Amino acid sequence: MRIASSTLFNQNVSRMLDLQTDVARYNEQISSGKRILKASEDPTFAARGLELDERLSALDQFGRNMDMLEGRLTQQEAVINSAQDLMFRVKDLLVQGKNGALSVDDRRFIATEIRERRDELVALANTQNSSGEFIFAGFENRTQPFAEAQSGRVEFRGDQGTREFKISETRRLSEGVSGNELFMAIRNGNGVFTNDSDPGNTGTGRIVPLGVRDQGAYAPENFEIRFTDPETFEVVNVSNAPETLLTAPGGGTDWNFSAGSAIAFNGIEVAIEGQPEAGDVFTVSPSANQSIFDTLDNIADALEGPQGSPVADARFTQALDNAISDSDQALERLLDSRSMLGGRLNVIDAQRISNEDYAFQLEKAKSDFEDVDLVEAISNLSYSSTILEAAQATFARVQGLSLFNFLR
Amino acid sequence: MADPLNIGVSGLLAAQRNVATTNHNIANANTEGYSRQRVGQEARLPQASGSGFIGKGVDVSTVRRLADNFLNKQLENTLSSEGKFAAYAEYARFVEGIVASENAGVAPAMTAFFDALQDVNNDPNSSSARTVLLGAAEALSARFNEQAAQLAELERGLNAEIRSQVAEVNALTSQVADINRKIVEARGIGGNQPANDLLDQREQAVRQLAELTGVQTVEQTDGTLSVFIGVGLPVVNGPLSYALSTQQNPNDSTRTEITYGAGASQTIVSDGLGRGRLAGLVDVRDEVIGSARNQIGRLAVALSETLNAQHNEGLDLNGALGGDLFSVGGPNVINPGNAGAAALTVQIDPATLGDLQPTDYQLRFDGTTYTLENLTTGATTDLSGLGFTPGTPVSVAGLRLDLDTPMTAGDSFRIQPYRYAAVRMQTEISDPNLIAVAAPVRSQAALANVGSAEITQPTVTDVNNANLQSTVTIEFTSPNAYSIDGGAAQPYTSGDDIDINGWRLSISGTPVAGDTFTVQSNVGGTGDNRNGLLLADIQQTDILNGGTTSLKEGYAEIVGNIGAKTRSANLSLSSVSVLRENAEVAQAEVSGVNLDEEAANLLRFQQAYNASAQVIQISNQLFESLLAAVRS
Repeated sequence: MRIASSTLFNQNVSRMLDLQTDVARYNEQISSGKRILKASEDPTFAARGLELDERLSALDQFGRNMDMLEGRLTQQEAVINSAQDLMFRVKDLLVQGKNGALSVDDRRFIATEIRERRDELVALANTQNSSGEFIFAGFENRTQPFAEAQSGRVEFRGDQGTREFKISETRRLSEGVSGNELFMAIRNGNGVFTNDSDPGNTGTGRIVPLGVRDQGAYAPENFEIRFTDPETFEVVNVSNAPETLLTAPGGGTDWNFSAGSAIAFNGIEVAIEGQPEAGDVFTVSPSANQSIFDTLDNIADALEGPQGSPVADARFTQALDNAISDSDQALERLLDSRSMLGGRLNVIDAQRISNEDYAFQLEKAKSDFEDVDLVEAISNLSYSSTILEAAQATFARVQGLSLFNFLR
Repeated sequence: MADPLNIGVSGLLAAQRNVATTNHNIANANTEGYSRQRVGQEARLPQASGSGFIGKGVDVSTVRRLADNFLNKQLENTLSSEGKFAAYAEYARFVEGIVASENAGVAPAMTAFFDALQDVNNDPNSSSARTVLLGAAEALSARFNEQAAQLAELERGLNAEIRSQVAEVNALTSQVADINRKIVEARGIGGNQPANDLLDQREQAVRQLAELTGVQTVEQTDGTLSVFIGVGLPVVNGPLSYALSTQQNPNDSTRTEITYGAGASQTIVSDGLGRGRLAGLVDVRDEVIGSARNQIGRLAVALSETLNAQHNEGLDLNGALGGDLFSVGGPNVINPGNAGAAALTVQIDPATLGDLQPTDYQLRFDGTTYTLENLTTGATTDLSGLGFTPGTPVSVAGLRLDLDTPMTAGDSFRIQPYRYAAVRMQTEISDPNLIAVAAPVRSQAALANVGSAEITQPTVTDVNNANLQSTVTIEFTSPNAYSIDGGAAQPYTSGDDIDINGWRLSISGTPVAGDTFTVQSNVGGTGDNRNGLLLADIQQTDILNGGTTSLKEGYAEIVGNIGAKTRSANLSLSSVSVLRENAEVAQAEVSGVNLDEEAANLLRFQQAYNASAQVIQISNQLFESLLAAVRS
């Protein structure tokens, strides 16, 4: 076989060019730390890499969302904490207020503090966040949600919206508790029903709730317990006209009164203490929403109410008892909300960990695809440089071989 | 009687010729296309005598070049293939650089947009978050513009190259024709001796031609070479050459097409060239640049249509329903000189974005049936079968086609749904307050409600409903029935959807007679981010390819596609380059000059020359001896 001199030359040169390309490529791999420098080198990875980047960046964003959300939740938690402390103080005051040894002035003094506490609570409910949003206002959070109306009652002017945050591709978490839920829509009484004595009663009877005995039999309707004489009363369902009389345990519609013993109807039990007179009326109604502010107002009103006579004292005790159970409901709502917020903060922590795990896996997948194996790249580099040096040496030597050298 | 002097002189001359040819070979060792030459010599006819034939010396019969036609054709073929893939790979790499580069692509801009959107959702009242989002939206549309513009620029460059390469083809064919003429002349002068160096020149010209376009050659008996391109179109015939020319594609003025012939017989031959750089340019223009532009355009259309539709359902900070976030260039319809006056309107059908295909279409009418051809796959759709007639639009492949009057048989329209989509993409909003992340309506449970029923926030089902934001009161007349705005009682089932006025919500739990819920306008609800969350969800929603591919996956798909095409072009190029090298080596094995061989030949012919000179000297001595004998 013969070979043209130009072939010999060209082949050597192109081989050296190829080797130089290899050397440059390994060099670039090492200096950039990346295995893939162009999409065409591994099109599958290029597409997958973009998706991994996108996912990583989304996780980053979810992280930022959660930071923001955590801040908001923590702020709410702090507000609720203060509200709770405030309600504990109110409970203390109530216990003090109930004390029979207190003078009317002492009670008025307590009532004044409770009114101050109410104003303090309104201020708490109108807390703003760093963006100037009222945190308990709902969607219309640029306007102050809680304000005292002409009547002296605190009104809620916000709405029931709660914002959500995206904390993963599929999961949203609510920003918090709406002001409506936290301060306004609180069931009074024991949460199922509420009871009261009629202000016009002439006896010393007080009604106390014993509880719900049969939730299934309970219907949210209004009842009155009417005393026909001090020993006998009727239980009347007044929800719908005409009124219906309930059957007494012993048959008939006349119930025998015994102070402090259970009166059971409609799945619930109440008792009447003290001594009612004929014509006295006690009401039992389904629990309705009552704001925490109204509850505080009621307490103050009760403390400022008339006292001194047995009838007035009975009325005072009734009002204060009712106020205590209402404020227990409010306190319970605060506690529930706080644990809900705590739960959400836990969800955030858990989601953070899971997002971090996911990000770690994505990073690893990306690095498996993308990152150069340095050991391999360096040995490739030194291998191809060695070959290149050899090719250069051979080239010089082969090109030097010529018969003409001997034609002297 | 044989004359030793003459024999010596013939040997001397033959050696001289040989030395001269060897020198010619050495001198042309680096001349491209040169084939080594050899002197053909033969013994002179001997003189017959009684004692046998007596040799009379040597004659130089010819100087021939060493060339193998088969190997030459092989080399031409591989050059053509290499030319095609070289052009393809070169331009594919450009596209790869535009579309798939890590930082310049659309992907990071899209991510930044959705991130900024979530920041607005986290703090809808923050004007700085809103401003950042607008900036991100502008950056996103700018990125689409830029990519589309770069692709268009690349295509313009490619068209210019087609024009200059066609001029180069014409120069080469006229050169071949010229050499043909010279070869015929040379054969006349040289007595039919081969015109070695002209043949080499012609072969070299044909090789250069083959790099540009696939050629077939036929050597004629008069020594001329006929050259054909494509489907047997003659470009060189004896001393004549026929020029190619270029013109704008009548269906698409941005494409330069290669034509053959003149006047009425002028035809477009762009797609029939088979191989060579020109064929590679034509292929890469359709398969890579055009496809990338259509894919990016489709992404721009899907992105803006989807985001706009959701944004329209939101409420901005001023309390108005959201406008469009982005606009894109609409579909382009070209009428390449139809005989009829029918006009075709094409719009994107927002309801079937998943059907959009990244391709151009041709709408044809044969007198009875309207057909739509997908110009990438060649698949046709019978539009008449779908009920398409003038005045009755149809939705097909995500496009709504509307024809005003019947087309004339034989007329057609070219439809380019995404030609201007990305390049004309714009952000429509410039006031941060106009970003609509709130929902237009909200629900409320009355504080006086006694029952335990709860209401969900309403979602918009028809933003165009005139009563969308009217206040609606849902009052329970009993635990099992409710009435809307005092209307007739309707049965209540916990958790069932209630659809009114273009919104939907559900109430669940146990209500009590008298409980009321209201739905009212959310104007003023600036802290709301419900629509913003729905906008953010679009990042993961599967929209494209029949609802299987999200927007971000759509872009990754483009990068993967272009990467795969570039990769296969690179691989094809390196494999045909190896074939071309092999063909070159094989050709050089026969025709190439080996300097050592020539040096050896030089020695050989020098020796022959010396020997012949010695013969002359000896015959001189013989003659002298004879003279001395006479003299003495």
